[in-house]
Amino acid sequence: MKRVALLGMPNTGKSTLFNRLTGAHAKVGNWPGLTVELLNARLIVGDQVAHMVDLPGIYDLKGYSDDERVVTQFLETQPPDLIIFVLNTSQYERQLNLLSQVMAKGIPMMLVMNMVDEASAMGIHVDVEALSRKLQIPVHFLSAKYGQGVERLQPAMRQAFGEVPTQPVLPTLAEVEKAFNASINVPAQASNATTEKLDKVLLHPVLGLPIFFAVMLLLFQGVFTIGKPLQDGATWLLSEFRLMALEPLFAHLPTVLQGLLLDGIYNGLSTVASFVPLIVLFFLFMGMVEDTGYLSRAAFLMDALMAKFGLDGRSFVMLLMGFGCNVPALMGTRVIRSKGLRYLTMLTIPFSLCSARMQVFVFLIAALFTAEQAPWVLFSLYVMSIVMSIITSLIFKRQYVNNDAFILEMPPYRFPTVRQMALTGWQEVRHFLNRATRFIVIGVVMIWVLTNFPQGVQPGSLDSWAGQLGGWLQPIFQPIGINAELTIALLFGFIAKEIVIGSLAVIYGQEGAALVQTITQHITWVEAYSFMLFVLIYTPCVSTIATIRKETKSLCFTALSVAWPLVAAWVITLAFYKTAMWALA
Amino acid sequence: MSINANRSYLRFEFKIHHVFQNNAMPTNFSTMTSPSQLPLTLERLASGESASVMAINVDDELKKRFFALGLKEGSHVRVLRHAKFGGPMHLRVGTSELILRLKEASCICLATTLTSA
Repeated sequence: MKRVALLGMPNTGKSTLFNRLTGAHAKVGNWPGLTVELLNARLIVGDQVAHMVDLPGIYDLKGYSDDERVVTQFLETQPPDLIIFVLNTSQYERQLNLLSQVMAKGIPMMLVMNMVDEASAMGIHVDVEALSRKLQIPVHFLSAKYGQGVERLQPAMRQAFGEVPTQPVLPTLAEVEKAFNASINVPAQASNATTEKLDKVLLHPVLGLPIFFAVMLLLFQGVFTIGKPLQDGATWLLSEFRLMALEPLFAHLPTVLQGLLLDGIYNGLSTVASFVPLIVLFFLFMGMVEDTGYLSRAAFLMDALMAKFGLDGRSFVMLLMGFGCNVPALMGTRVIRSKGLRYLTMLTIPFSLCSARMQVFVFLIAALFTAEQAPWVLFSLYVMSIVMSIITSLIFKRQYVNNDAFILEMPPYRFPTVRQMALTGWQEVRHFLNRATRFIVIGVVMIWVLTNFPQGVQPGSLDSWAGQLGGWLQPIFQPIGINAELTIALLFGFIAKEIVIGSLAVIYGQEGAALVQTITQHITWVEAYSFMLFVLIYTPCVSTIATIRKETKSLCFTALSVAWPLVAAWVITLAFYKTAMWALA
Repeated sequence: MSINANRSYLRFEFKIHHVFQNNAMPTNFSTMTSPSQLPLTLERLASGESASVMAINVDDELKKRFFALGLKEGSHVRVLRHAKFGGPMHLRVGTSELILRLKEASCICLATTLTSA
């Protein structure tokens, strides 16, 4: 099978082109010989199937960042049949060094001059044929975002595969620069007027930060305003489906099997599934902010403050990304070259209140607080999440010293297309289905077994296995206001936070509105808040631990990243619970 | 501004160390005696000012990163803005924009011709 690799600097639209060429079928997979995962997909080229890999965006082939090492290693150990080098046309000058480095590898190449839309708006003109002739490789001028010119890549790839590889020319940097300068015409005052105008407001010395926080608040507000009715609708639909379709369908099955299927798997899974609209919306909005380039601005605005905690602007962006999911945020730290800063950032990211934990909180808050209180309770948890990150970096900044330079590209503002947003939404749904089949089903089944056996016990009672297990652990959890049932949810929540709400449904044997009712009767708001604090602070999920282990290759650091949050969770929850009980007494 | 200038004076000794290592300082360096005649470094530029880069006194690895973002000897930089509280500065080099901390900016020596935009 022929293999094609996409290579280029960050912010050149490489991944957009990858999505454009391969559709939404890409998956993250391991590569032999590489310790990191690369995005790859199958691609039909003419009458054969090719494998396309999206290599991480890098600045220099001879650099020392982890991403750069990955690409170099990839090209050396498994040279692809074709490299498609993606270049951001309007900023071509600074990318030529990387281009000549890659050309020197002697692998057949194709050059994509991307972002024709931006380049044209700036009055940049490219003589594609002259450039192709001078570099002696095919050159294509296109817009991956709007699809303009992308159709030319298919025949070009077909042709490249059909050709007998000839001895490629290996031009020097000076020769590459000469070829470009002779074929590209950039107006003297080329600049992005929209970006300049927007930055005047968004990076305003006084208003910049308030605007940033207002945007983030608006984003969350938007997610809940639009998402809550959708979630309620989904809850209703899933309940109706059980009542109308599943119960009659399973009526002839033995009671135990019925219980497992309906009260175990279906209740657990449907409670989690009702959150899918909310989560998709959340990622959609986060993705939009990310795609616009506003996060680089956030790094600029927050760097001075983050420096006080031993972090930098990039760490802040990763913490924000962690609000979506901690795993990609942890992998995003690869761009940081200083081991100290990278480790410190990795230690703080797991405190970012990710979307899975948000589900637990939204669920419990809706059950135990009034509609007026709800937003503030959730807000307090987000504040706590940030406070925990700050405390952690203040404690550990002497162990993990930042000696990295802070230099970051500021891309122009770009606005995502509907197509890009739809893709983001779809990827989130797929991510959920993936987790659902991998962790959540297994988790809820185990909880159902634990809460319904030994045979004959009242489900979820203290006589069940779960109740006994929770009972043994009560010396640890009772002082912090977490009862035996919730302890079981916490134990399984270690695997993934979605299991927590799924398990509540299983433990109480109910779903939808009835479940909310039952929870209100069983726990007080103080206990619920203690539980939420613990859920917020302790380990997010096994995937996070696995990612930290894989990224650092250090068992010691991984152990620290599990132990520290556990201890902190217990101490802080204890402090909250005792104070609240004392204040209310 | 006076505080800023003072700070870069403090960095001066640190920079001498660099000069002997990299041998990349402006040639008229030996004639400089008082702080007012120090080579102009990037962090001292105010918003709206621009100048061309004469020398970059950082290790090779970081130099590569600067280069990849458009900062190299001879390139023309314009300061778009400074972040509050001594935060990073926002620059434009050609058609690219980047941000860097004042610490890194102080390693970039400029040709003294200051032009206000």
